[in-house]
Amino acid sequence: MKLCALPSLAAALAVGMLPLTTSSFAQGIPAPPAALQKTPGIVPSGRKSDPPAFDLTGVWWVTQPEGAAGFKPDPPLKPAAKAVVDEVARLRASGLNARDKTGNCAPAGMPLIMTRVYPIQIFQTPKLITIIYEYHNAVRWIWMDGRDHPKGEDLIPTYYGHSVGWWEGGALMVDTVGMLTEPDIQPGVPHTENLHILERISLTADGFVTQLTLTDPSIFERPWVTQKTYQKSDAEIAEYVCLQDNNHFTTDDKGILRRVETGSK
Amino acid sequence: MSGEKANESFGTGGFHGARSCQILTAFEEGKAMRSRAHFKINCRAAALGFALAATAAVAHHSANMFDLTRTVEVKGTVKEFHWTNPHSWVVIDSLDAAGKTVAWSFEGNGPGYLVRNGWKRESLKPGDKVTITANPMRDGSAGGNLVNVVLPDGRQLSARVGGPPAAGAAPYAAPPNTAEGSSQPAGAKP
Repeated sequence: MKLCALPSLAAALAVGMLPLTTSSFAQGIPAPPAALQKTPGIVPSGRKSDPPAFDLTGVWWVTQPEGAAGFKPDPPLKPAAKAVVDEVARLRASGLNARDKTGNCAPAGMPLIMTRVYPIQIFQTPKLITIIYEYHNAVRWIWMDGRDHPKGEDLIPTYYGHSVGWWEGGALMVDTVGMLTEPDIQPGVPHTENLHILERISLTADGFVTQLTLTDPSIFERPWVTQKTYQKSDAEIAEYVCLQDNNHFTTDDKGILRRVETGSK
Repeated sequence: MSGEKANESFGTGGFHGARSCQILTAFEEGKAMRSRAHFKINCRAAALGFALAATAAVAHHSANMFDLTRTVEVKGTVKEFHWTNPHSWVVIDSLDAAGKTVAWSFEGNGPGYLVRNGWKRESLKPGDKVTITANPMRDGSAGGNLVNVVLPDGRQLSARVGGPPAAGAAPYAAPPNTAEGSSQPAGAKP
């Protein structure tokens, strides 16, 4: 009994079920229902794509010619959004960590993740391009199989949004929607659920450049065009689990560094 | 740990963008921590659904608490070395100008990052006499953002952040030494 129950439990947990009787083991574990094997809301875009122009598979490292943790040039903000940006800039200049929870291990999300100075690893296949960011080990999936974004309530708001891609004029185009309104685009620069990012990725001499066009009509006066450049890297990306040791040090409400006794280690 | 509680979100509603929010007033008065409920009500009244992503008592590894324009040098004895994500930490005991022992805490990147600069798990051991260069805390408290460590045998380990150097960026240069034997960095508050 004991010998049988353990592998039965492990196998059942793997499909999210708990065996209640030994008979479930005898009958085998049923496959997940068909409905669980399919993601709803996948619709074709009808968009034409050129053949792939290059292969991004490999490790790349963002360069920071514009300085750390931001996008340049500054966004063309509407007055209400600019008031927020100005105030947050003032608070941050005084040392307050205004409107940035990534330091407390909250996901960076798109596009803030692109400002983090860590390597990324890209896996390019014909129907899917996957990007793993070392920072927080975050993942983006760029669907290249001709699908469109899910429509209506099928679009689930997420930190990194829903991305579809296609090839056009020698460039990789990536269209992203569905990003959660927190976090900011960069600390202090807000966005709504209507944020739309179109990336145009093209090769450079030693890497690639992605030109981003951000639209969000209630935030920006006009589309905000910015870019990030990446260099090819020999680095291998590493594990970065932010919650591993996030409690040993903190800053108190006056911004003073404090050790926290957690009782572990 | 109150800081974590303070960091909880008030939700992720959209920004409807017509008016500025009372959050700004709350911060100006320096009452952000105490007036969160006040903020929530006012923000909702203003039809701004921003999540509060702004408190002081969070983000132990936000670079914002460091003055990245300055470096200080601190000599002392290694007390602890945390070889962990999201950040490594070096704690050293250092004598201040009055001869009192002060524990300084320095934050560096995680192991996966520092190994690219030659760091290893046992690069620092309790008891090691080291000299640390760091970007100091803005508030003058005994801590900083790790820049460079001089080990007991004279070797140096850099905690430089970044992959390829930024175009036009100056190469990393170790800061000049401060007076021998002084553990009180120039410009640091007591």
